[in-house]
Amino acid sequence: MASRFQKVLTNILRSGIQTALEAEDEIRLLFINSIILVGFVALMVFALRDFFAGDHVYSVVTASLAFIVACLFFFIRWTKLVQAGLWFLPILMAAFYGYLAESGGAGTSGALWSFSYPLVAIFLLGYRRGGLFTLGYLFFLGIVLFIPHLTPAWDMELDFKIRTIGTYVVISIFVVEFEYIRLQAQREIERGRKELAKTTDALLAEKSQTDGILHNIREGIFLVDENLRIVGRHSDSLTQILDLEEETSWDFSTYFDGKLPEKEVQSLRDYLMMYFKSQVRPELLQSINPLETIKISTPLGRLKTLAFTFAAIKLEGQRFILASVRDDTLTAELNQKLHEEEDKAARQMRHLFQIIHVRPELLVQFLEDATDEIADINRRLKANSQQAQDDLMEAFYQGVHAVKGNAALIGLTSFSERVHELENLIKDWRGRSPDWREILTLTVELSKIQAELEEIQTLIQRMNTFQKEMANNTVPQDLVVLTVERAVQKLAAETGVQATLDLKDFVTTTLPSGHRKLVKDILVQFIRNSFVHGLEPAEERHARKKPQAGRIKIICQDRGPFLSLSYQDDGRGLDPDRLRQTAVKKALKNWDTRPDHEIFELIFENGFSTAAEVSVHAGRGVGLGLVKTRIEASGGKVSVRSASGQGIAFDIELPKG
Amino acid sequence: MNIRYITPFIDATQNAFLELLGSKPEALTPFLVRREEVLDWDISGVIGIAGEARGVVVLSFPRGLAQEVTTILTGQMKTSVDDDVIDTVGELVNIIAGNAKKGLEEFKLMISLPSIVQGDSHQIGWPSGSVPIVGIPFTTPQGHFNLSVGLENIITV
Repeated sequence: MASRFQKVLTNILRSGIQTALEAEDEIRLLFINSIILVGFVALMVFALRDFFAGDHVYSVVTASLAFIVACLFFFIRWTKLVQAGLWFLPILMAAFYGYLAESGGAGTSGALWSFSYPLVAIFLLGYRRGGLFTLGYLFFLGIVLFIPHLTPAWDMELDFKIRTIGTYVVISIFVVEFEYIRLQAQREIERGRKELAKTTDALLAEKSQTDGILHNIREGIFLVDENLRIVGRHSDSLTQILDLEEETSWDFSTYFDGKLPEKEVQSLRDYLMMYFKSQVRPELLQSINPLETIKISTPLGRLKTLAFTFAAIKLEGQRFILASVRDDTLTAELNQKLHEEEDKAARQMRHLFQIIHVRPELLVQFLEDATDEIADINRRLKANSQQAQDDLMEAFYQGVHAVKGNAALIGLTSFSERVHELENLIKDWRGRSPDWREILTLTVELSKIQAELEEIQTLIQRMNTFQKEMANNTVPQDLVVLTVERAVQKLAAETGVQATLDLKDFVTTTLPSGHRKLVKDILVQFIRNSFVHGLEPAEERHARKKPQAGRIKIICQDRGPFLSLSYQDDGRGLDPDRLRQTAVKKALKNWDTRPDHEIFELIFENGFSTAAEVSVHAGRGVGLGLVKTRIEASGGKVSVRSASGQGIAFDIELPKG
Repeated sequence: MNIRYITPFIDATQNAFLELLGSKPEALTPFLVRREEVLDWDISGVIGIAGEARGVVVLSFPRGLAQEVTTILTGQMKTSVDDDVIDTVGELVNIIAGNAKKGLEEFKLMISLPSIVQGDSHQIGWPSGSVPIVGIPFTTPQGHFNLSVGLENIITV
């Protein structure tokens, strides 16, 4: 009920204005309405009293004034023109008080009302404008009281008049002073309020930023107190990273109970407690962080790799650990996978290295045998009968021994070493009944060997597939061309002689497959010959006005039943005199008188070489002799042409097919 | 595969049966399991292992044994593999996994919550590659069941 009364009163005093007003206006509004209400009631009381006292003039004046005041009340209420009311009321009151003072009022005490005028004027209009009103009224009062015979009030005693003016002045001064102080205080409060609002806004903005960070950051950030409990706020990700089911504050170290061995949980607690001791260096603490990366099974049973970091902080004199946790599971999984792959690849390379040294048919036989032996042992294991038990160790030993022996025989060294270890294990337990755990140990070891065998098999299968794919899909680059090119490059590098190779007319597609190897060998021999005997070094060629790089040309032509192959270089060519001398030195008969083209044939003689020293490439006198022997063996013939100083040409005819 | 990773599971299995059913299952001769081998089991609980070794530990039960164990534990006669049977086997494997965890504390190993595979002659998803797999049969008054372990050592740097 009180609240409804309060509401009605507030409504009346605020003239029905609902909206908030400036503090200053609010006060004045309340004040003016209060004066109006009190004034109205007081005026009506006086009017009635005067009426019954028979003082009808005063009664009517007072009553009409009450009416005017009431009108003002409703005027403000309806028009909401508070400012108009504020101006009108002091004027009205000045008139009324002036009338009372001038007329002397009831019992000639009308001037006493004047004392309340400064209050009304200054409180309603402020100390400046209200002060002017007050001053104006003071003059009026002075005139009324002191100018002789002007008003009935002049009849008052002088002392009374002086005291009246004095009191009025004192009241005015105090009211001005009070209003001034009140205004200052009001402003002070206003400023304080505004500053508070500003601070609050800033704080709110800051909080919303912090909230934003804590809601969105992907790391779990939290505070741990001295009891190792998570306290205060934490980032939203925390519950998700740690798979926490409840939001309640919990003991950080008990989180790891059952997830880590008890000893480690204890040492983790000890570690965390060190953060609350100031003498420990933070870098040291960080370097021994046991939770730097840790694999644990979370409360929801997920395996996660988590990375924690800690830092000691002080908040309002209390020490905390500021902790953050990151979910590294994906990275760790990838790393692990990478490791596994690398490890597997290394193992496979080892196997592969051994496999490629083993003859395929032996390897296949070995794999079959080994698989059989292991299957045989497994049969006995599975049989689980007493009789099988008794022979088990012996069968185990023999089987493993056989696998080891076979592996060593074909050269699978590391594999045979693995099996050898198992064999040693069995050897110690042989000759007695093994207990169950020993059998389990052997079985586990055997299973590893079986897995390794499977790996080798997989590898071989892959190689098979690889080979098939290669055979089906790729056109092999012409081996003859490739070899010839390589030979030129290699010899050019080794001898320091430059040469270009012209294969424009070397069409290898016409080469019958039966002759490919022969042609390749012949050409390599000719090339070697050119570099060792024929092609000159750059300076010599320059002196002879030949192009700096020697030229080798190979021509291959299809000539009906024959295949014609021609090899030419532009080197020194053959020197018939030198050949003759060598022939004489070697005591070959009748060569000194033969014509040049027959002398040239000497280079095809076995053991005939003009090179002074034996090197990798020349001097044994086997090369060209072998060429001729092989060509003739395949039903072909070879001849040589040469002009001394200009080059050499070999012409070969090979039968097709 | 290290035998020391396996023994905690064997001990946990034997203890769980001893506590729940009053008799300790006897371990029979272990044998090699080939990865493609389909064993004649009807319901299996698969426990994943990760850490310094990777792979799975599988407890496989034939229908009959699973039903009988459920009958004993729930007091309700079971004649088919219904949800109760699956739940019971799941709980049993859970208990075994939980107990085995204690024995594995000295290793850097983590074990996952078990998952249940059910179906006639189902196949187990062993880890990829050539992984050694060993089967350990157990016999109980209610019948045989099997513990198989497929583990691969991880070389960590």
